[in-house]
Amino acid sequence: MKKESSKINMDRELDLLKKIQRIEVSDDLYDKILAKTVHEKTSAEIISMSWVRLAAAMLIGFFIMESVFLVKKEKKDELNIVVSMPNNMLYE
Amino acid sequence: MKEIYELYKNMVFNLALQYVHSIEDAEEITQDIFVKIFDKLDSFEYQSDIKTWIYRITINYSLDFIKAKNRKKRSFLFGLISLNDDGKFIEIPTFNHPGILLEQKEGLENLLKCIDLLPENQKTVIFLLKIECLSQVETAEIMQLSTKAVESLFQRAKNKLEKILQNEGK
Repeated sequence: MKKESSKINMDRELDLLKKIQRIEVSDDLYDKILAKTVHEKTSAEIISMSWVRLAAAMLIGFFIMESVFLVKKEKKDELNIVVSMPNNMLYE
Repeated sequence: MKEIYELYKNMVFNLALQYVHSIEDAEEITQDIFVKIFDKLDSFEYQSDIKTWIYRITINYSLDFIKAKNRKKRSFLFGLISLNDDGKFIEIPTFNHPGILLEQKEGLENLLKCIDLLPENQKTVIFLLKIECLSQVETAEIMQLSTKAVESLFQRAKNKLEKILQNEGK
């Protein structure tokens, strides 16, 4: 019985929503939409700054990796030269 | 394009208004939705009703808009600088629903604020059935659910809303 009455109340509460008035859209909205459409089309043709930043960051990262790799390689080469030089001092 | 706009402008605007309760935000959403619609109109295959398609876009876009706004608001509350796309400070929105008459303002405002606390799909089902006055079949088609699922979703929404309203009343 109690549940039935609370259900009726909920239906009444929700029926309140039907009293919300419908609002008419302002007259200038269509012009704003057209302007936005044109703006979106033109801005799509321009490369966005976020992509430029990403490309620059990737380039810098690549250079850093390349220089680290070169330094390591140089050190390794120096060591190889020392090791590979024949030392015949003992036999002379 | 203009014909579609004239046919559905009030539908889109009013549904967005139920989600965001602010004229400015609802206008912004309406603008963005019609930009999207005009852009995708050529690729739209008339397999489903255009009205259903526009309803779906409006619901999804409004929900995304709220999420984005809440994210920005949260960052603002945590003391970080929060700017919108134009670099202006974001104003925390106030409840500004022009469709609510003064004599029902208190009751409806409270009810809509409680509906805001419901999960997205429960909120949507209430808006479509009770404000848009759509049938269960139409609602099911828009929400891509079965009519039975819509019925049980609405029932769950009602139960949860009842609990929220009871807690509010305490």
